Amino acid sequence: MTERAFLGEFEHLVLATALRVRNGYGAELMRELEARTGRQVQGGSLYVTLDRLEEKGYVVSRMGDADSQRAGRPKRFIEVTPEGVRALAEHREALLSAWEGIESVLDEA
Amino acid sequence: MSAGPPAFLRRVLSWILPPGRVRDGLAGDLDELYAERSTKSPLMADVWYARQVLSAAWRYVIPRHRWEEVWRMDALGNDLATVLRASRRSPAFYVGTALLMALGIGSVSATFAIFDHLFLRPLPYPQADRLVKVDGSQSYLAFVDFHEMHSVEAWSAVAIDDAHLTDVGDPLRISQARVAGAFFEVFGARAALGRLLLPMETSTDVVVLSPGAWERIWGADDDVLGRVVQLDGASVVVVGVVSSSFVPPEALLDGAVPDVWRPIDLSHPDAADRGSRSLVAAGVRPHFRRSTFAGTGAWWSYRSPTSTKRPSAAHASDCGFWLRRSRSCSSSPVSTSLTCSSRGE
Repeated sequence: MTERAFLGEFEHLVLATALRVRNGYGAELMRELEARTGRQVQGGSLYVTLDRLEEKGYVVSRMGDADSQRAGRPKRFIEVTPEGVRALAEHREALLSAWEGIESVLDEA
Repeated sequence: MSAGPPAFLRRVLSWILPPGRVRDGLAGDLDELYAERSTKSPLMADVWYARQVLSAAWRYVIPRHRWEEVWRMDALGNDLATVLRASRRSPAFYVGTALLMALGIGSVSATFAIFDHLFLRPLPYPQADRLVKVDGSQSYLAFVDFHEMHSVEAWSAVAIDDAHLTDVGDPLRISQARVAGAFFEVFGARAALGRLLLPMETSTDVVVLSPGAWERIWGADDDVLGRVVQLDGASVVVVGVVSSSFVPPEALLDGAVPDVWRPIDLSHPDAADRGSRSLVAAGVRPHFRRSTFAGTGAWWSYRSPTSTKRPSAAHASDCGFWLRRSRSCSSSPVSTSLTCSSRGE
């Protein structure tokens, strides 16, 4: 059995959102996360998590061109790496395994 | 197009975030999201932005390798939240505790303020610990009696009222202090121009100006010396200007800052009236001793060095010189009254 790298709760959400948005930038990720989770996302938490994911090799970021609509500040675009996709898949497997047999209970909640 | 986030918060955010992609990326993202939110509610957008700044501060000001300590600080936050929840179940206990703490903090602060004023911050007068303020009903003529006493080195009397100055354009209502005795000597005042009132100077046709009045009314003109001015219809000669380093004793002047200083006319019939005056004794000698504390006043009994008779309270009350403690007196921590045994000295 291979060693699985478990993601933290917020890491998992950020990675999944980054994979859905596909080459999105910070503000897009925040909008998507708030829409999907129904809770407010702190930008500082998001960026710290992105830095951590990038250190683990699950995402890569690149800075865009200076954007005049953002007072000249460029956007930080996020792309999920193949390792990140693999980590997300493994995490999903772990969750599905943990939920096995209790789907009906979860559905009723 | 809506205005951006509050400038102060933007500056704080720029200071918090590490330069480079984090600052550019996150600050730009927050600006963009703020612009969207501010179209719905500018106030809520400001609140949202403030929370974002706080979150950024929490994440970026504390180094990541100290995250365990942060976790402990998080635990502190959890403990505080637990206390707040518990306080809802028994609010009386928590409110009482908070009030007791406030009382304790307030009393300590008040005690320190009193200690500071009495002992740490001395009065700006020479030998201030030997200055004694005498309050109550006494006439200026009593001041003459006091002046005969050997128990003090110098006496002065002071009263504050208003006067009308009429020869500087429109009539001006100014604040006037009338002094007798060695007032300026007792309080160590110096003259910036000319001279000050002399000890026991009773001629009422002279006046000394305060530096504020000299600048405000006479334009700091050095030629003001010798000028005759009209005060309450009387011609008085300006003989000097007090130095700006002199701090008028506010406890004797009901908090007023006099514009001019004039001698008390002891020959005036009003001098014999008993009214509330302020007397100051300077250089109180050691045998000027305190006896008992009664009612709202503190009694001093003066025992003459040559007399063996102890004055009685009745004897003191006949003279009417008992005094009440002045709460506003900042000159000395003691309040005094003089018994009539002083007359027998």
